[in-house]
Amino acid sequence: MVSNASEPSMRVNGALLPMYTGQKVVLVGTVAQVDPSGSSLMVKASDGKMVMVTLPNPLQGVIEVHGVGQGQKVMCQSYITFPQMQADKFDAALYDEALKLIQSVRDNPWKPDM
Amino acid sequence: MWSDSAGGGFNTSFGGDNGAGYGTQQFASPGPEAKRQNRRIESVLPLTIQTVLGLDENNQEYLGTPVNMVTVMGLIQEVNVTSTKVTYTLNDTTGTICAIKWLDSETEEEPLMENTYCQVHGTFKTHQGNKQLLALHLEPITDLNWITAHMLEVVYTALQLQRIKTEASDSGLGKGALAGSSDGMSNSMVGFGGLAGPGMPGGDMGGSGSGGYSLMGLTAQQKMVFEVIRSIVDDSENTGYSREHIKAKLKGKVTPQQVDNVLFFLSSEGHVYTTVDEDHFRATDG
Repeated sequence: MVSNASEPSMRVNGALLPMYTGQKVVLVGTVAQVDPSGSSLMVKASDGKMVMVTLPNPLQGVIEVHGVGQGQKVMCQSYITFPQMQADKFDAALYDEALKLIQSVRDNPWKPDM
Repeated sequence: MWSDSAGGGFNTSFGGDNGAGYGTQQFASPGPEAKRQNRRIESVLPLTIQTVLGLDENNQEYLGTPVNMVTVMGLIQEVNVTSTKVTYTLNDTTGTICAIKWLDSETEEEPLMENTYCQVHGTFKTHQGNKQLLALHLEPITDLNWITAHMLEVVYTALQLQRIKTEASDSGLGKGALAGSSDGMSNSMVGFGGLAGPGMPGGDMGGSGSGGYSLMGLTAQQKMVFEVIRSIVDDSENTGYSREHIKAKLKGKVTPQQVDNVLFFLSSEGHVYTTVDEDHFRATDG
């Protein structure tokens, strides 16, 4: 996914990071906090400094979660976002009706053959 | 248009965002013995991958309809690129299948990425025991509403085929049954055109062929003019009716100017054709 993977990058901590503006860096740390918008998170770097990390594919908008059902929760195995699609363009009511249809209609192709 | 011209083709207009449906055209050869072999049904059936996997390789049929082209929508789980082709492994929550897209040396296309939804139009084939899709058109989905649409089209197709199947067997190929399902077909073609392949086991467009010619889409005036031309008797020289004759017959119902307009329209649509000169018309009887 990295377009210029062949170029070398520098490992940095929070203090060294400003020296490499515009250059490729590698930052290791622990996740301190995930921003509610889903587009950034705060990482505690190895020297204790907090660094804000912005994600290329923000977790926002329309998302399709694949996983295992656990009561009211879903244990996610993978997910797909539709970044080019605005959340309000998705006709949720229609999709809801469609999925109720495929659940209920007798002998429709979406039901797994037992 | 229900004509028996043999040029099969399907109108494919894709546009993920403009919501254009994919139209299909069905060409059926009417006549008293429209057997399966004479019919060239070229419809694109929206199916689930599970259904496609369940197709029998020798007798490709789905609910009584011969299957030619199918469309499925699924998530790409694996991409395998070689110099001649790209193999995508597709999963649509009902099953997994491989879709093969052969590469031209001219087209430089980037293969789609894993974990993206895509829509495939293609034909079903079996290769060394594995069922595969030969992808003719493969397009990524950027709008989740397309998935909703596909879900509905699959169910609609299945139910419609079911209905035709039971109608054909119940009513015994009555013209009414066929007309009923034909209307359903034309509506669906206008709507989102997912299907236009009714199983017409031996069904015909009316016993004699002329009675069943569809006049859908013509205005009342056009129908009148057309009927006049079609009902010609004693036309041993095959000259058809002259323009003046048609106008005289419809005197009081259709003005001469309107007759001219209608004749122009009918001949450009192909319903009538000119014979000895530009003023004699015959009907292209279905």
